[in-house]
Amino acid sequence: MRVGLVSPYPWDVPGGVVAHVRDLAETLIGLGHDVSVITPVDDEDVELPSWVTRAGRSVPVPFNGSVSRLVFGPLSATRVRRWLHDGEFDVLHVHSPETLSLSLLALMNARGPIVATFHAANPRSRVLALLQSPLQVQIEKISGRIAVSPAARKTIVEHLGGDAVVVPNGVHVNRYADAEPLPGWPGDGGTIGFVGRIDEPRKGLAVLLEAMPYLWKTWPELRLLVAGPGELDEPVDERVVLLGQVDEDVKARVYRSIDVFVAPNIGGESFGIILLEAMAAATPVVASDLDAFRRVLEAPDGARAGLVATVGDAESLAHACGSLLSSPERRATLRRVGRSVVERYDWSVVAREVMRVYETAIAASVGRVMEEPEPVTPPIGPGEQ
Amino acid sequence: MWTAVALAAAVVVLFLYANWTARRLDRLHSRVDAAAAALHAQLLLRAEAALTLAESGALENASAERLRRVAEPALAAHGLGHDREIVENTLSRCLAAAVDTATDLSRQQRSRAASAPVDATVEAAARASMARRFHNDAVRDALVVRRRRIVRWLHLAGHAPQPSYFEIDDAPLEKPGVATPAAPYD
Repeated sequence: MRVGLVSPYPWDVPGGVVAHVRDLAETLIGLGHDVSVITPVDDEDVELPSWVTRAGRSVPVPFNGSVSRLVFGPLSATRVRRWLHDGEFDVLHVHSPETLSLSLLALMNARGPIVATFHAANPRSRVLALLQSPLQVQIEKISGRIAVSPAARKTIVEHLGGDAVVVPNGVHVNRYADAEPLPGWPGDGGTIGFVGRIDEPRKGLAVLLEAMPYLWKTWPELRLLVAGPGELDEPVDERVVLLGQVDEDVKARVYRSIDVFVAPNIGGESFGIILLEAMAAATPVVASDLDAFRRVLEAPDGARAGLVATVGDAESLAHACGSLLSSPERRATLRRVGRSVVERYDWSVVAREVMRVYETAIAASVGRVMEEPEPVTPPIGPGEQ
Repeated sequence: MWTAVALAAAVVVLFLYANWTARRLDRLHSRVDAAAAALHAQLLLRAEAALTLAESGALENASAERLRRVAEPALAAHGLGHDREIVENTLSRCLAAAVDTATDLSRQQRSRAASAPVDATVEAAARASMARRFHNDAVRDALVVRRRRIVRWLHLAGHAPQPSYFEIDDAPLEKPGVATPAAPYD
């Protein structure tokens, strides 16, 4: 099958959606499909795989409390149209088309079997509310919608109407299971791990840093290994090791270098890929009691693959970590449950489900993917509801 | 003078907008037709899988016979009207029971051979369910535009029939951890 994938965010800036697009592309190529990705790329000198096409650079625009990266303009549009024309795709798969990004641009310029994956889960999205009417014209060209989690599906149902099938994020289980621990880790004193942006409050590193002193009372040599980009305002204890931004290989090794993985996030999580990565690496998990996290941690037989702690409560977090640090048996149980949970999120399984969506969407659309003769935008109209 | 110009401009804008809306609606109707055809095809495949399951020997005689009796009318069904909903709903219910007993039986006998028609049925049902969702999404998108005032006043929908949702119970058949005979982590 010839598949065209559109990434809304720059290929060379690490992030969940970009990683998803890359992993999906690699898995589909491994299954023998013909895949092409079009994406913004910020650094002109960065080297790209042969199946990636540049759509130009993105323009950061502050919006709604975070930074949106817009890719618009005649140059990007021309590139997208040429890519659509030359690709002769059986199916076009855009990611997060609700953002004002390359995905929306591709959607505007394409017709035929189109699949879209919605990654976001924010119950009160001002962007979606604001853009609903003009967005609807583009959204209604999509034959099959995917949500990465029940929370993301709920967002679609509430803001766009209609439905979506839930196909979860994937993880390359073996890449994590087979990774070597970093030299000298986890060490005899015990190690706790954190992965994520260190200066983004909702990732919750501050809560974990606050929980550490409780743990140091019992385990004075306990270390905290932190992997993720960002700057901290205050200096940290010498038992806290900041690795900064790490590449995929080192990240996999970080998960193998710790005794307990902690996800102290305080909200805004739609899915919880970090939990799956930890489970794939057979590392026991302590996570905030968020809906999305609880769902990911649940095994088919109802067992739970990790402990949960009250959101934003350092003492509760320390308590959960302590109960795992003091019990090798409990850690072993969680490892076993974790492996059984993560298996159904392996990319080989997830990609099969995505293929099922592609085949259904192709059957439910007219013709193959083509560029629009003229982009579908309303003429100056009354914008009547 | 200026009033006439403004009026003419308004008429032109309205004409452009109506024309654009009509083309948009035309596309939406094509999408509904394609999605309905796909749903029809997937429902037939599901009925076929059910019949294969009934004849595979994976069920005891009574439930095999019951499944055959509801699968046969589903194989002969056409259109996506209310009658079809009733036929497919009966098949859904019967399939859920059949897949449960077939899975239990193949577990007891520890045979993987007997689970092949069950797996095929579960897969066919999942695809039919997805096709139904995509169909109903298409219907909804078309209805939203059809309900607009400009469409109703100017009869932009022409003679295209009003699309309607297809509603049946098609909850996933696969019970977690039941589809494979041996538990993988013991």
